[in-house]
Amino acid sequence: MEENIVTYIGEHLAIGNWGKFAVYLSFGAALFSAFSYLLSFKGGAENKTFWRNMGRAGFYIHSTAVVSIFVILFVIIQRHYFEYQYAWQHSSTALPLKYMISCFWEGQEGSFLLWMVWHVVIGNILMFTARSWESPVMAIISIAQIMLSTMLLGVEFLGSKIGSSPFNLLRDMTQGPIFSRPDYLNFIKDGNGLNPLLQNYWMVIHPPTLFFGFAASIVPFAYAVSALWTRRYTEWVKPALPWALVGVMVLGTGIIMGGFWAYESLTFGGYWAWDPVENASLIPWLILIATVHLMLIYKSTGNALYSTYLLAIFSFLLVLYATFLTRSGILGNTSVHSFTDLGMSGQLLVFLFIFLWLPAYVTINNTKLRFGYLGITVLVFILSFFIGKIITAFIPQGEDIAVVLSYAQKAIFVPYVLITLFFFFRNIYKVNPIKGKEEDFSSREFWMFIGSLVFVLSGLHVIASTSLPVFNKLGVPQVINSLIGGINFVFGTSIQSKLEFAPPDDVIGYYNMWQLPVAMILAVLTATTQFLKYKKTQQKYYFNNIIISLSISLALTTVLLFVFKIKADNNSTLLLYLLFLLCAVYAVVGNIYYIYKVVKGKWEFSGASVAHIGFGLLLVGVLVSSANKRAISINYTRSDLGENFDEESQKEHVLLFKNTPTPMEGYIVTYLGDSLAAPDNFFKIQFEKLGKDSLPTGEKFFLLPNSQTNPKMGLISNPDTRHYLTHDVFTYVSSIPDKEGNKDRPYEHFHTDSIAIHDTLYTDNAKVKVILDGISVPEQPNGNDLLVAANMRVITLYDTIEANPRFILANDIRISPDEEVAGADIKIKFSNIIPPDTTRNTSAAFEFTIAERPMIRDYVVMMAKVFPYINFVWGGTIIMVIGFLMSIIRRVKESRRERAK
Amino acid sequence: MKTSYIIAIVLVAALIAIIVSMYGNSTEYATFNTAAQNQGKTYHVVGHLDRTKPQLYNELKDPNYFEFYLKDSLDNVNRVVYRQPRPQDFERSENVVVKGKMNGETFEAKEILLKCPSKYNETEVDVTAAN
Repeated sequence: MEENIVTYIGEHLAIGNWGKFAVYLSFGAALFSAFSYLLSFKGGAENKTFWRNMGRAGFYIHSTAVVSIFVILFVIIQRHYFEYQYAWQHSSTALPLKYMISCFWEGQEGSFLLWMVWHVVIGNILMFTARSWESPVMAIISIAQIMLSTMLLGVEFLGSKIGSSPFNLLRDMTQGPIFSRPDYLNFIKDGNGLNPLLQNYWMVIHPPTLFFGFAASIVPFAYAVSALWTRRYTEWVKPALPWALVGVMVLGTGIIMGGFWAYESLTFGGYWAWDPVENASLIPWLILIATVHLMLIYKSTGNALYSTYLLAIFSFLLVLYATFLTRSGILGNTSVHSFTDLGMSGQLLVFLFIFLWLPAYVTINNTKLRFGYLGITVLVFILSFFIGKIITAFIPQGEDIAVVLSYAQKAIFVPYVLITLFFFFRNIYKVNPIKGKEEDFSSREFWMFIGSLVFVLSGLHVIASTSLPVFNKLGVPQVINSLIGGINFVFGTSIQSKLEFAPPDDVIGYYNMWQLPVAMILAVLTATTQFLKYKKTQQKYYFNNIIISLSISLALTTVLLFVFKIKADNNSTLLLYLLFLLCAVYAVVGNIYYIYKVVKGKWEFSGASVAHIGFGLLLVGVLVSSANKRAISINYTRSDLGENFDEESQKEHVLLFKNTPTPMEGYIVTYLGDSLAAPDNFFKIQFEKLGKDSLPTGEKFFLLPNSQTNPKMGLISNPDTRHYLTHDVFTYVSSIPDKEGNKDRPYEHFHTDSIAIHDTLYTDNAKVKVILDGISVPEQPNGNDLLVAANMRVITLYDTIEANPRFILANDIRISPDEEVAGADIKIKFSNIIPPDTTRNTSAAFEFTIAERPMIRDYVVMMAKVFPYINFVWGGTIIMVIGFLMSIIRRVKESRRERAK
Repeated sequence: MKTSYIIAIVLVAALIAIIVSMYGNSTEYATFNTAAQNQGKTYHVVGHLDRTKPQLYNELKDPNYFEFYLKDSLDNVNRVVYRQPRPQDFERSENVVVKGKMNGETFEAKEILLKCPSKYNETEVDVTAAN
């Protein structure tokens, strides 16, 4: 092959080879660590310490390797080694250093790497703090690291590609004649660049925070499975609780940071849109919150262990499922920002399945049964690799291979997955201690359990609704269609069937229909349950507290009604909003009252209540900001006021001519012009506040929404928001005139004037003036010919430009070439010279024809929205996070105290 | 009756309600033909922009009116009206998903989802700038 002898110039191959080596090393070390840790709690007694030390050594090597991969990839990006595909695809030379770190999460490989780094951090903490739990917990984390490092391997195995290496060379990944040149790198001057939407401060911190939350959720999972594995069924909850709280806190922070980023830099105008990608991160959080509450119930009463196991395990499995949803490309048609498939969806499913399989497998007590199940598992995995080949070899010609294959796969996988699920649920149920008597209605644990169930239901609703594309892939519509067909046949009905599910008509309304009542129930529970005691509560005790907080809440809600001025389309919606507000206020008041009355302001025991107060405030913010948010940029100049006249949402964009003040609800808005600070174009928009009498108050502010005309992505608009304590004014530009298109318009308004030196010419609209400073006669070309040039200054509103129109007399023919002045959109023609007339005492005059391109008045199409009281959303979240932090500190102290005993 | 049974019944009822509401609220991916036969019912149509037909967006006249032609998976071309400004980087989109309903001959889109697979996943190296 000829390509093989090409020696490429300027490549930095060594660093990539080191990177690849680090990937292999991290994989091998994780394997070794998992194996050693496994032996240290399953092996013979005398070797336990030895194997535990081996496990630690393996994990240290693994940690070093993972950090090395991270550093090497960063160096490749930072030094612009565009021979590497990752650097070429996700970065460019103009990228500021602070955004280089964002390149990690634009690509899939980098995201998995980030996840691994967080697991390494958590693993290193656990090695020193988990004590008797170290071996099984670290074995499980190492298994997760094995799975994650395969995502970066990028090797062929039995004909399938495993993982995708971040150190692939551009010339290996793409085709092009350019790669036959040894010096091809000289032609690749710049990379593709980072998506401009990711070049944002919040996008630097939101993904790592979210990923740390994801990573932390492995700890409760690892503890739960370790407990099942080592048959220490009950002790795991205490050490796992602080980690579950950390997961809840960090994941929650990450989610709301994503919301804040969306609000600050995307144009959909809001912080939450129930987009599948947002939902994918919310689902594990909902389940993790429920886990925390169940853990507390178990710690205080010894009840609900089975549910605690299930939820601790599922919160991590749902992290894996969320990863599968967002990274497999399956959401393609339903989400704005899903990743494209890198061919790793199969691997992700295996990852997910192994962690469902592990608890099912380790809980089988019967040795024969366990080995039988293991054997079946191995068989299924081998079959899944070769099934395609077997079928092609055996089925007769002419049959549809794809159909047979899909049936064969179902025949293998469906029974196997069912067996696994059976083992999973039955075996974990069996370890549950025999339940004592039922919880009392007046006990705290009963209502906490109900609250956790509501969280689970809320999560199930989001999971199911987000999984529509997955149901389509699994053939669920066909199953339902045959069911409906049956019903129609039996009952004579005519229910229509759906071929392929798509998201609801009104997505936000659909989710709110379920999640608003859920939030109301939870809000009421947070306040009421606090006043109850574990086991049993005296009625007088809680009744008084609840009545007092409820009365305060009612009074406060009435006041807030007038402050917030909540609006709704109809009375029943308004009633729902009011109820919602009451519930949210009750959550805040009840928990404040609890801190005051019951805990007596003791900091250590107030964590939960502070988190609940934050939750209540968040709900107040959610309600008021979404019920009362409104576009103020309503456009009344519509071309057709016929159909769809009533749809408010469809006339929210308004055209603002430059320097033309336009009234908008409470403001006079003026577009003042744009300024370019490459690559951003800022549009200066002035808002003048109007008083109650609709007269200007003198108060004004400027918003600078910008747009980037990105060669790769076209126009990208970034909003700008003015933050007040009680409301935000949000605005973005949705369309701007095409300035390039201006060039092709014809000249108009020709007129001819004779002027003397120092005189001035004006265009028709008087926007441009032209001053004749003098006449020069340059070197003459030929004896008989004459060349005269005018020295003119063209003065526009912004600029002064020199122009030199020429007048030529060649063989008595007058030639006047057009002198175009691009910056002023005019052209000048020097058409004649009128000699001085001594008899009439006139000096020489010069005749010019001037024409202009009619100016399109500069304008922007923009939309402006007011979000009232959105600060409750951010403030509530911050308070919630503080509450979690207080709880974490309390639980960590608690377990330290116990250890010291 | 034991409380746990009551909880279990409520739970099952809630799950059934979730499934029914999910099915009832979901719409369908369909073609323009299906949408035309069911006037006024919301569908998602997946297709790509017909570049041979003109697009209409005149912000000077109405900034909230955009009209274009979409070719669905069965190669049927239909006029789509979107009462919003033209989406950013519309020209570059390869796949367009429109959500809306048919109104006579016109598909009234309520939402447009653009898929630009080439956006940041280009497989061809652009060397024009270098030459």
